[in-house]
Amino acid sequence: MEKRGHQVKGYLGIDVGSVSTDLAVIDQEGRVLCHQYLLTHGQPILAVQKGLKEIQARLPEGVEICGVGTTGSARQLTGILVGADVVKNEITAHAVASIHFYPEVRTVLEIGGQDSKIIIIRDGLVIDFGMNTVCAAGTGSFLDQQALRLNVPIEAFGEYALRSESPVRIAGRCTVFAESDMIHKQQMGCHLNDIIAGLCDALVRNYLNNVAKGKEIRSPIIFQGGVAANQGIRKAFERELGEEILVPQYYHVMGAIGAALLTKEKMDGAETQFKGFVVSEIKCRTLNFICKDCENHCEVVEFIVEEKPISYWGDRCGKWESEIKKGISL
Amino acid sequence: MTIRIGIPRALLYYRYFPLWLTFFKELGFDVLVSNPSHRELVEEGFRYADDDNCIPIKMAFGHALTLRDQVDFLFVPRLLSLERKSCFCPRTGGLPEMLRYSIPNLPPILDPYVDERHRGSSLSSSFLEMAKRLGIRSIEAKGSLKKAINAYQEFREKSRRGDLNPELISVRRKERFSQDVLEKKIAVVGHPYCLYDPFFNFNALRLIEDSKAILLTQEMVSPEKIDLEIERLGKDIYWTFGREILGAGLHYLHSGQIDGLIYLTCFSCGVDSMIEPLLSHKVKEGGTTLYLCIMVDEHTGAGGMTTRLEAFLETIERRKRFHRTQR
Amino acid sequence: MKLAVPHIGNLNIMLGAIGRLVGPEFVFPPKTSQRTLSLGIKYSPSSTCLPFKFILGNFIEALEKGADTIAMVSDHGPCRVGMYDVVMQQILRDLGFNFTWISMDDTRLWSHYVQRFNKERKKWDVSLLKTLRALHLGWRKLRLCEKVERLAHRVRPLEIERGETTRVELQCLRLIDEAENLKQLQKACDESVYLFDRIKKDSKRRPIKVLITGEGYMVINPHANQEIERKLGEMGVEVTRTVWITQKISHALGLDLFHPRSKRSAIKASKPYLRYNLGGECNSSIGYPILFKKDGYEAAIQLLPLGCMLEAVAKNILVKVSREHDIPILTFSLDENLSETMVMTRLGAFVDLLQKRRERKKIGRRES
Repeated sequence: MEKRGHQVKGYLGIDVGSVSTDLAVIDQEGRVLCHQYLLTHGQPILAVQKGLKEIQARLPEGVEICGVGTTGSARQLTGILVGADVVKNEITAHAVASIHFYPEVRTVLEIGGQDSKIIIIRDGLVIDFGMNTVCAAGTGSFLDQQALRLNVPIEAFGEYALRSESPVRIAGRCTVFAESDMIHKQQMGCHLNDIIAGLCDALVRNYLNNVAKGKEIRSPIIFQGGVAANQGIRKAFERELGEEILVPQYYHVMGAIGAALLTKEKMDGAETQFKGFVVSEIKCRTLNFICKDCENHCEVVEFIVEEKPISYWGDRCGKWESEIKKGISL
Repeated sequence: MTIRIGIPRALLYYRYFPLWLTFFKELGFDVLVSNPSHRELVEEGFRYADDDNCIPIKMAFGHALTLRDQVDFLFVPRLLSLERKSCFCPRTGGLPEMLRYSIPNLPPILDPYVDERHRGSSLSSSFLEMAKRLGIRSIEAKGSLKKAINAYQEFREKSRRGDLNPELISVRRKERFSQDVLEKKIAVVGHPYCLYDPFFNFNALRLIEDSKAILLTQEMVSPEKIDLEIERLGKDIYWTFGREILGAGLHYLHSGQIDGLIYLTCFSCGVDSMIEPLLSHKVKEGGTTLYLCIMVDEHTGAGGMTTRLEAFLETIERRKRFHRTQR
Repeated sequence: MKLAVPHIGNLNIMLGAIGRLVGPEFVFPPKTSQRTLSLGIKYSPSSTCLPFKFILGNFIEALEKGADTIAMVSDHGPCRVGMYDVVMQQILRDLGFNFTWISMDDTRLWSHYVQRFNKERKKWDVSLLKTLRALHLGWRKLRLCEKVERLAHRVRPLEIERGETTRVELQCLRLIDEAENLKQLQKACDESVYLFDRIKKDSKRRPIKVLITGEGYMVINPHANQEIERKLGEMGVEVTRTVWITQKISHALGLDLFHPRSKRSAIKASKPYLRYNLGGECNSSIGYPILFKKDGYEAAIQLLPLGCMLEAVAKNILVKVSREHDIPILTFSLDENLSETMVMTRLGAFVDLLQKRRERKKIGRRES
């Protein structure tokens, strides 16, 4: 990488979820310098590589990456790929980012593509959290499926919903059941606006009954995650909770910002493990195998770069993990 | 002013309502039973009840909620066991606390603890103690309890003869008997709150009746016959309703007088998860009776329910017609 | 007789020792694996709880290995475990297996145990002394296994090389299993202490202490709870659990009267929140977090199989306990669909929450 006149210290956060991959770079003061949102398409490595390339292009002149943090369901894999200094679960990352932008926040509603969570914060401290259970009730994929069905682009959902005057009541928690009810309402001749608003209401109801069950929702309430782009959902939340809902400017990359903030906090002048943006060019893949050395039969993941195994994880005994101690030198 | 006691129309109410209602009414209390389940009530309950509860428990939350601001006391008896050899589902045993901790501002709960397996917690002693709490002398309470038990026994006796209380289900049997079109006999078993809450089962019993079938339920099988079936099974079933469901189901199967057997259950019912496999296995062994297990969960829609039931009834009718032509 | 029992904690080590000395011959199912669970799921009614599926899988695998008799506990409710015997027998017979089934009733009378024990002893024709010796060895082995587990709980959060504690733990359990008499067992004990001592530790760390409470099968068995003890340990958390086999046995025999952390005292501690004992581990699940708070356990994790009737009640009530005693509680309703990623994310966030809480408390103390 070409050396520029480095004056600004930057921290990179990467959030790799099952649906989207988000990257963000912040500076020493926690200001967001640039960010990137792209779809994972079930290939986290490719998505991260692509994201790195794009964020590199957007990086302002003179910024040096002094630390990298990863989060999301593929945080471990990504951490090894890029040489992360911090690998953190997404609940903590989201909480940290919300508190950073809204120090007074007391409730964080987060709805992503495959999972959603609620975080309860008091005095800047996470005191409780909840996540959706196995089914997709209360997650973004619920809306995606219905959008497909209605042949309305998901991006336009909010617009339609806001135009509704009396939302239709749509029953059912899972996509399958909501779908049959929705078709029924369509056949009854309900207006598309009202159906879409009804879907938004259904999602919010499911979220509150499933993810947020028993949690004390107090304002200020922050709503983030990919679905927060949908104004219809925000309005539905406001209707249901009777409180104002705030959507932060960077609602869709809050996880990445949180990871970056955590990294900034941890680094404090230490040397970063970041392997540089060159990792976006390397050839790599993962291989899963079952270790039969003991009766545990762990499923071990092998990470291979340029046909050389560089890391292992997933073993209970730590034998494979310690096989190759410290990452690679590229 | 008379004290008003609220009784949620849920769970064991569907079996013991004559006992409870008579007891409180005899003592001169104003008794308010929550309205039959409806959508809003149920959804409100779902909002407060934890997800690991079964639907009937969540519905009980809804019923308690609707009574919250209307009564002085809430009656949620803690029935653990009424017969020495069997017990109820433990969820009902913890219901008073679950309600109290999950729903704010509930009126005080009357929760007589009845466990006939232990001394000191018999039905009479716990009910008398509760009466004492309400300022009733035990002589008076004793008299009312006696009447209440009589009312309950009378109710049971009547249901055994096939005369289900209108409080449970409005049977339009008389007009039907005259028409002479009755072809099929269908037995339905399940926990009383699954059977007799039409909102829960999308009015399944009515649907069966409307198809011109004779509806038989487990209440119509005498305890002796149930005991006999359980004895033949060789395993003592320790759940009161589990025992009754399995015993009655087996009785109907072995009697050879029914055309179809339906098991109504709800998702995550621990009792049914063990009893249902036993019953369905015996059905398969027998090989002639048509069997349908309907599990209601939060996703069940009226459409799905009706379709399955209608298909089942249809199959029975076709089968009967086929046999007739064969003959 | 080739006797099979389900895998429950380290029960097989104790029974194996007794079996080798005085009989009967045990055929232990292979270690509970993904295959065990798959078999269990395939042949179980779908709405049964997770322990049913695991145990059924164990039995299928034991019968495949040549077992001809199955022993399984049973009781009189209200938990469905008392019905396992009929339902499982039916499923296994349908699969075409031939076996004898022994139901072990949950009777809480000393005399009954003694009588039964004597009857069995005479059947096998072994002297009383020899039998008592075998029982003694088995009991000591079980005690030692639990000692090793407790050591691992303490050492794992301090280990410098991830996985070393787990390796040592496995090695120690093997040593215990292989010991043939008390003398060898003593040696295994000394060796275990030595091995744990030798693990490289960072003794400056002050691990957070978390209690694992809930339904017994889920709490005892790492295969059922996604090895939550190991995962937490490797996140730097010292854990302990509420259910131990020795404790279950002494509770059944009524020998735990004076133990301050017995199930009995936990039930007592739960009284203000649940007035009556509903059975199973329901009341103790509620009471234990209160008791263990006195030992410095600042949080609890409740494990229950999805659909568990008793623990669902406990879960509702633990919310109140958590609030009143300021004990953060995380609940997992476990079934075969709960993915490891989900468990890890929640555990990670929970540990972060606890860490921050501790920091905040420290600051608060300094300020005041």
